[in-house]
Amino acid sequence: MSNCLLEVKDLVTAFTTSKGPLRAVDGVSFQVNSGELIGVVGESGSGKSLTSLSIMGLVPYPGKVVSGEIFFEGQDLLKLEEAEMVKIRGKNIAMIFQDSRVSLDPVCRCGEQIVEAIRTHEKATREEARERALELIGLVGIPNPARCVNAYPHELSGGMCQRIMIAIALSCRPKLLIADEPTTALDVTVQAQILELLDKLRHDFDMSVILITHNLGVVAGVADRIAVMYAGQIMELGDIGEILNHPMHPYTQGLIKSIPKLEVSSKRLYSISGTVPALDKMPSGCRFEQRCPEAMALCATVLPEMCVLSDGQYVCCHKYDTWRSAYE
Amino acid sequence: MNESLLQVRGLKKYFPLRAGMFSGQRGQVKAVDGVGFDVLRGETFGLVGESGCGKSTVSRLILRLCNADEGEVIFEGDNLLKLPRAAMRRRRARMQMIFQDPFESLNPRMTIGEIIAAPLEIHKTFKGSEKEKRIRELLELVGLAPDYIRRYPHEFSGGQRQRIGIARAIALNPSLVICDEPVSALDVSIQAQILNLLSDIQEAFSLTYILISHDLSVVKHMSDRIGVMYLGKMVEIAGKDDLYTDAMHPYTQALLSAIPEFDTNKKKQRVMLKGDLPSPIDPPEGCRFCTRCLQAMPECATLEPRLVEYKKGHFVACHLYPDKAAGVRDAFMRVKS
Ligand SMILES: Nc1ncnc2c1ncn2[C@@H]1O[C@H](COP(=O)(O)OP(=O)(O)O)[C@@H](O)[C@H]1O
Ligand SMILES: Nc1ncnc2c1ncn2[C@@H]1O[C@H](COP(=O)(O)OP(=O)(O)O)[C@@H](O)[C@H]1O
Ligand code: SF4
Ligand SMILES: [Mg+2]
Ligand SMILES: [Mg+2]
Repeated sequence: MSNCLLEVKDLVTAFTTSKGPLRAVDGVSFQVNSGELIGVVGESGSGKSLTSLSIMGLVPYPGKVVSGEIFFEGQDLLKLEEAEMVKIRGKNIAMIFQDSRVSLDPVCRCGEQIVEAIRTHEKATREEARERALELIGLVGIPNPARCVNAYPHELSGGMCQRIMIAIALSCRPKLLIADEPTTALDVTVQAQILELLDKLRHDFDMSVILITHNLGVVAGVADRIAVMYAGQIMELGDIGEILNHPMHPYTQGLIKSIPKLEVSSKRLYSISGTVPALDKMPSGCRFEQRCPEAMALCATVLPEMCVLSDGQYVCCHKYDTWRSAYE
Repeated sequence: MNESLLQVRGLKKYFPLRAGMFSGQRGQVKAVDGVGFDVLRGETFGLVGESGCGKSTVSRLILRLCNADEGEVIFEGDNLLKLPRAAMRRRRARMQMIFQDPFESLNPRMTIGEIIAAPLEIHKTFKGSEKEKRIRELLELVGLAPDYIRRYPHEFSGGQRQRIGIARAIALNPSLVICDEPVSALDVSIQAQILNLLSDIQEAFSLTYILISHDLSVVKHMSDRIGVMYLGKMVEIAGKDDLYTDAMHPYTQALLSAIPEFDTNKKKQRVMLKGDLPSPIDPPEGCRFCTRCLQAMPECATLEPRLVEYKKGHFVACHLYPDKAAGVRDAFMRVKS
């Protein structure tokens, strides 16, 4: 367990609405080991961003973490005062988003923004910080660092802005980097560059990365493990190779089959019928039940528990009820 | 089967670029710069390339939703770009479009029935009860309940709205349907449903498709032949299997290798492109890809390669493939006069 950097336990995050509390994240548990890259994959609305915002303590009003624990280096982040959380954000845990251009200050030169980030978290003279900023810009693979320092965000492409965001995130040598759809707005050739960069940096900086994406293909090449989310819950969790090659949950199985693959020529795609249930119409049993080709009577009424299939492979489905529960 | 339904020749569109309110015109966006290809009757022709390379502009030029600067679009025998307005309007019933964002393209104040009826009314094909019958029939065809006819777009999910867009597009029995990023805004588990629906409808009505997408896996799955665009130019055209197993243009090779691989056992040797897409306002001289190409040679920076048929049915625009038949078959660049 010494290897574990972050442990999320039974996290529930809900929105207060006129229809009552909507549990957008409902009982999510996973851990992130030091130095690993874990992918969180799910369709839009499955609760990926909300899970990461819960870790950062940045859940937007009227949302709220209702219950659960989030241990970072053994300390429960949910019990910290906001002032203590501020210190952890940016220093120990950093986050980057899909639309980097919006996250950057449009009227401030890129170099200055990195300098600011460095000086918020540590004592450094402007000169020292400037030198570090230049070095970071080089590290994230920007071809002409000296010129980039003086550029405004709108003068840079989407890919370059994302690199600046990564430089800002790295400026304080975080132990954990949460990247929420960092390549979704980018073209495939640029996406490949950014993914390679993230993979390289986590080794160089010895940091853990949570890579959030709706695209299974994105994590396939870089992640060690993945968590597959559906409607606010984790359906399957484990080694990436295991899950891609031998998916166990009916949702993961359907998802993988339904994605067109370059190397396969087929006339028809497999498709999962129906749509994701709305938050206020979540079934009381398994959330995938209405769309599941293997659903049993039990599935409609009883929420399945996380089961351990083998060392480190978890699945949340009644088909595996005879296996050992993860909570024992 | 090998008959062309649509022939595009030397198509060109430069958008004027205005820098500020008072400074007048400052250069041009070379959005589409001499693009040519054929679409065969009954096939799906895929158009792939990164955002901004001119795919949507090509489709808008074909339908004359914006005016081309140069070129020919020959559809069922006539050059559409020279057709008088009234004749073009009649012809437009034969060519329809499906858009990326089904919500943006549906009027929120119209019921589903009215939305689907709009093209039927413009072209006066069906009247009264016959019209309502046709709409119900169309809804059923795209997998929606016929009773949805009086509902509004906001009551539907993204996938359902795309079904409505498809019903509207096929209402007039078109022969050509241009699908511009039809599944890009949809969730993965819904994409497959819509792609299958598009295939079923194509078969049922013998439609010809142009399928535009930035996602090569989607294009490869759906298409018979594929054209690859880069910065306003067509760089390669080939049958889908040929393109996948024997990509010739270095850009196509990079695009294929950038696609995230599913199989984790096979860590692929990536052809990693450096840098970003140059601006279409001031594209590189010579080959437009020369600034990012790993195999660029001196002539690439000065001489523009032409799209030539290097192998049967496989066209490529790249100096790595010497133009054997120069002058004989200057494939799709020439505008017939
Ligand atoms: N401010 C809000 N009020 C109510 N519901 C919200 C709000 N923000 C997000 N949600 C809901 O929470 C769920 C999870 O959202 P999110 O974590 O952003 O999903 P993802 O990142 O996987 O796309 C969604 O169903 C969304 O509709
Ligand atoms: N109406 C317009 N005015 C000015 N520039 C345009 C217009 N439409 C498209 N463009 C520019 O033309 C280029 C090609 O755009 P588009 O055809 O939409 O590309 P794609 O569909 O491949 O993403 C882009 O640089 C875009 O900014
Ligand atoms: S629990 Fe039941 S409904 Fe849910 S995925 Fe498993 S088999 Fe399907
Ligand atoms: Mg999100
Ligand atoms: Mg487009």
